[in-house]
Amino acid sequence: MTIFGQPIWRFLLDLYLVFIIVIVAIKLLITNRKMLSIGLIFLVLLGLYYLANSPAIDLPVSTQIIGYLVTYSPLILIIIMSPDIRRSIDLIWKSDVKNDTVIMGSERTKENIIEAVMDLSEHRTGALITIEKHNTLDQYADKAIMMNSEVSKELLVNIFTPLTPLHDGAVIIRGDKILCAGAYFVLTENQSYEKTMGSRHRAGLGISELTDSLTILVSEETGGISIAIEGILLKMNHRDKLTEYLNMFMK
Amino acid sequence: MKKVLQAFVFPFQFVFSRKVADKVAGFLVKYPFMQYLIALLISTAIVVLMYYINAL
Repeated sequence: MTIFGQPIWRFLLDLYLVFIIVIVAIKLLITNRKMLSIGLIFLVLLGLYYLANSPAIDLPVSTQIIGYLVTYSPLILIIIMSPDIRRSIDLIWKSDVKNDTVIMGSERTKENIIEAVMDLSEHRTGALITIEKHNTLDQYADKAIMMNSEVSKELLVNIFTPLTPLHDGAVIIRGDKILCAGAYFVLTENQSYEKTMGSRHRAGLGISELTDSLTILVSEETGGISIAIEGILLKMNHRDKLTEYLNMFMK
Repeated sequence: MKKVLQAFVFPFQFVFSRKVADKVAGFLVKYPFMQYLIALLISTAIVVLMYYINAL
């Protein structure tokens, strides 16, 4: 049996391989709206190319110009959009890099975190504390100052004390341990938040978009406490509310 | 009517709008099965057209 003069197995194998490429492209494109828009334009161009190239219409100039665009645009786009592509790969990676067993902190750790956050808020000291869940934060910890120390209120307050070497980055907590301090995250590119939002809050949101971690943020200007989870920033105006969220997250 | 005219005159501007991207992405995320169906349709269209052109 043949299709367009070719054996059917060849056609099906061809179809399968093209399908794999297209599904990978779709998975990559839906993680970034800008890339999706460009992907849609590419699809329109491809459609126009086939239309212009079809024997019934046969437009030689359009075929040639659109043909060049279709051929070279993927390469140009990969170069231009490389930061977005890297971000999309990170997002796909997120679903794969998961720990099977999650070690969450004990009640004592939770209490120490809350006490430290309340203290930092009271003294208007900026802080960024990220609690790891399924998705590993090793890639950020590797570039930070490793600590592997027990979580305590005093230590957390000390880390974020202004003008100390570690106060500017984030603390990553894994289970009952402070894994590292001085970690730097990718800032969120979400435009829906206020332009005046500081880089600490943007970093907290950025990591919450990429992983399933919970980040507690203390504002330097107002002393306000917020948590960033799943790409959303929630204001914690009361200690009980923060405790409730931590209880839900760390169970 | 204005939108239809706009889409006809500036098809790329229409396709490149954030609104369209949001709608398409929202739809594909909501119905993951459609991702596979659309991928199958696109790949079938590409392969059939390529075979058709090559057969001419």
